[in-house]
Amino acid sequence: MPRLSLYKPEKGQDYKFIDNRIFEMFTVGGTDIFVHKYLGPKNTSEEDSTPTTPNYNAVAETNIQDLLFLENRDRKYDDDIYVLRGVYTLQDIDYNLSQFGLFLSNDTIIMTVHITSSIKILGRKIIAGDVIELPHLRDEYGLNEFSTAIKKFYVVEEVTRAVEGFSPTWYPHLYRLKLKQIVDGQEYKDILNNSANEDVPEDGTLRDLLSTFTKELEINTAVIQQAEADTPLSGYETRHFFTLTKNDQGNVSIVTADFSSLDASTQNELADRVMQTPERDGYIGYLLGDGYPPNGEVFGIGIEFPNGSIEGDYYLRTDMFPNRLFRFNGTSWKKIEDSVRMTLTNTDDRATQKFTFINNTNENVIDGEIVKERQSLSKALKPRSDNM
Amino acid sequence: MAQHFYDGQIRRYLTQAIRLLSNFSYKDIEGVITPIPVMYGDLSRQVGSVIRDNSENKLPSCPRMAVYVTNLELDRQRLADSTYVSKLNIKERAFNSETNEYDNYNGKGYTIERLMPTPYNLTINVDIWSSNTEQKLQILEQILVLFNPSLELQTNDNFVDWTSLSVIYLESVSWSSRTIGNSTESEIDIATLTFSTPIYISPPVKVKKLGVITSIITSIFNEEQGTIDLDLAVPNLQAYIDNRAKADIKDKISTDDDGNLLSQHTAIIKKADADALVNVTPLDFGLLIRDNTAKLLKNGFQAKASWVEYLKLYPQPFENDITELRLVRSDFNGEIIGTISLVDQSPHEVSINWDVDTIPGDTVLTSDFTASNKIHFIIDPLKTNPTTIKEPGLRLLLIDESIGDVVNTDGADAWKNNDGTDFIASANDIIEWNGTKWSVIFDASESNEQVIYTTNLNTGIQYKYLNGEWLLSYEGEYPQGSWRIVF
Repeated sequence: MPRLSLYKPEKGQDYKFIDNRIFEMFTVGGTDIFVHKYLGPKNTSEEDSTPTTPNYNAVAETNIQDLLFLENRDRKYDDDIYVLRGVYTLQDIDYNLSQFGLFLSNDTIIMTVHITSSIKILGRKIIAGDVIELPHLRDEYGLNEFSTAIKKFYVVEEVTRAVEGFSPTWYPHLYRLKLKQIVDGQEYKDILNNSANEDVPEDGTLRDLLSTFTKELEINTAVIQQAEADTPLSGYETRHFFTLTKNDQGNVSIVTADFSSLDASTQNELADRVMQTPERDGYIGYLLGDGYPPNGEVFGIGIEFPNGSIEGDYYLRTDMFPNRLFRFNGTSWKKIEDSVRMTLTNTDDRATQKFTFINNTNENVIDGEIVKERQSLSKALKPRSDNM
Repeated sequence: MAQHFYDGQIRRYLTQAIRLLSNFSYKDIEGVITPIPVMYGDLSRQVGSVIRDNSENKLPSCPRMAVYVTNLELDRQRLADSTYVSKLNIKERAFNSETNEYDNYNGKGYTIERLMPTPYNLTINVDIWSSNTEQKLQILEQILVLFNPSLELQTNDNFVDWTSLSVIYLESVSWSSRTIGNSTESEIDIATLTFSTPIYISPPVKVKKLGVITSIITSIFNEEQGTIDLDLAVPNLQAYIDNRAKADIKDKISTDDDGNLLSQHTAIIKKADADALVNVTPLDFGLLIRDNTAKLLKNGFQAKASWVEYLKLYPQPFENDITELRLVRSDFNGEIIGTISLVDQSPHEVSINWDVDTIPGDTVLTSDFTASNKIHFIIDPLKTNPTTIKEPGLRLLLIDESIGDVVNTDGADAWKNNDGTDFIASANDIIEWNGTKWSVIFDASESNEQVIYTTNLNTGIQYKYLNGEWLLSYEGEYPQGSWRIVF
């Protein structure tokens, strides 16, 4: 080893002297950065674990949640926030308008942090996935209703040694962090579920403060409401149309009861009735059955036909799917229509043929065992572990 | 400049497309299910700024879906006769504006005329932005299973809109916008689904009044010749409203054994010629007009249906004191018109407020004592003693029997004049008491050709003298075909 050499195999006093000066420089000239330390992917439970989404012994940065897609989508972050100092070059940024709204076009920051102090504080090297908040970029003047300023968060995408961080000793003193603004996504739920203001927790979570999610969902809901106003149900609305009742001779079928002595207990004979109730809906078309009798006639609902019905009574059987409307013709109940109109919105009670396979919470008791009716095709009736 | 019209038709297709893709979700490792917002993709920069609370610190949410139009082109294969007009006749249930509810009887009738719409193919892209692959797969699996091969897309549930139902086809799936393994930037991952839907764009429709047949006009049977004139069966210009078939109605008055007034009714509907109009009202009811009221008749008896029920058979709404009753009879040139109103306590009657201009005025009969066009009573002089009602100016119509005779030496005391002389008058005469003696002011035997009208002040009923007999003037029984309701 030559006597005069700035490089030494070990980090000597020269290195430490320079490193301290650099740290001082960061302390004096740098800005605070709050680091949300990435602890690792959330652990898949044992019962849900698979070979490609394993259950680990502990949460660790080295774990990989999905070994097929090679992604850590459910990330766990430390509840503590670590304060470092960093330096980066400010730059003007513009918005890009995409199909998903406004995005900052070049909001990628290259930041340098002091290696030894950051490791001392964090307990490890900064890694991709750590989230950094820049307190000096807080926006106190947004349009939000919150009393809290809108914070600025970045995620570390890459960590390399900064070229400018190498001292004459040839040892690096700085990390170069490539930072990109985070999105309100699955990966950062652990951070965004924290209170926006610990002193005023009722102000909501960081997501409420930072994310456009609530606004977007409100917009989406409004569009759905408009669509439901335009088309409340599939098929066509004919309840406000009139159906003329004819008798066997083709004449208007008139109720022949003596109106002055009506029995008020009968279902369909209103005091102002003049015509017999229709035997069928007067309008033909695709998906017109709604379970309501023509002309707004009164009808009963239940799972079995009532006794004492008279000609012209309607009854909706709700034990049938789809519900079926009947009319009593004096001797028997004749089918009028099935109630087939239903919402076109993807609600959890939509019951088209396809959606009865999706919206299904039924449970069946098979030989004393409760079996969920809805099962994935790949998992239905798979052999159980029998210690063979 | 043409009149402006806009119905938001393409807008509704996009609204429904967003609805179709809404309410999907993804599930994280903790089982939390998060809905995925779906929005229109071509938003304005200003609104984008508002959504971000005008702050560059706001975080866009992920995953998200954006729906936008990429193409709209005329579909020539679906072009049809552009002049074709489809007509749809619709009867609406009556709407009660007081309760804001539909009633269970018929209301207005409409005829909808729809011009052939223009077919287009609309292409829509749906971009799905996800932050990881598993998330993308969760979203795609929920959506892709629905398209087998298409879904219905319905823009509204209006029965008359023949363009509202369409289908939406999944044409292609672009898996990712990213370049695999060849980028220094971690671009957002966007999967794109391309949908196409055949749509129609329609001009406005014509909403017209439905010509419901509540009154059938026929001119087939020639009453005079007893033949059927088929060549006159079609409506023609000769079928004027004043050429209606008219009822030959006779309500002859008489008294019973106790002297009470009776009427004997005959009525035949007759056509003047083959062109004359016959009015056929719903259910072929007849009508009984008495004491400014009308009752429905069926086969000569009061119908069981009340007026409220009967009027519901008409498409037009009934209005008290506005809806008209019109009568035609052979002894009147024009129609007898009155407005009708329901009688609360008597559902089988309507009260009539006659249009006096359509009813003949009473004939003024002059005597030495007074001039008047009214009478006070109608009596059979052999059954009713006038002594108690006698006062100067009293006028009586004598029916059925005469009083006095030239061969009598001593007539009935009740009919003597104050000077003791006997009074002589014939049946159908109108007589007057001037305070001292009776006199005949209308001698029926000399007035066979004359039509005399007079109103009984005791009942308010008008009578007429025609062809040697006293009849009800316009009251009486009207057979079906001789009356109608005008709304």
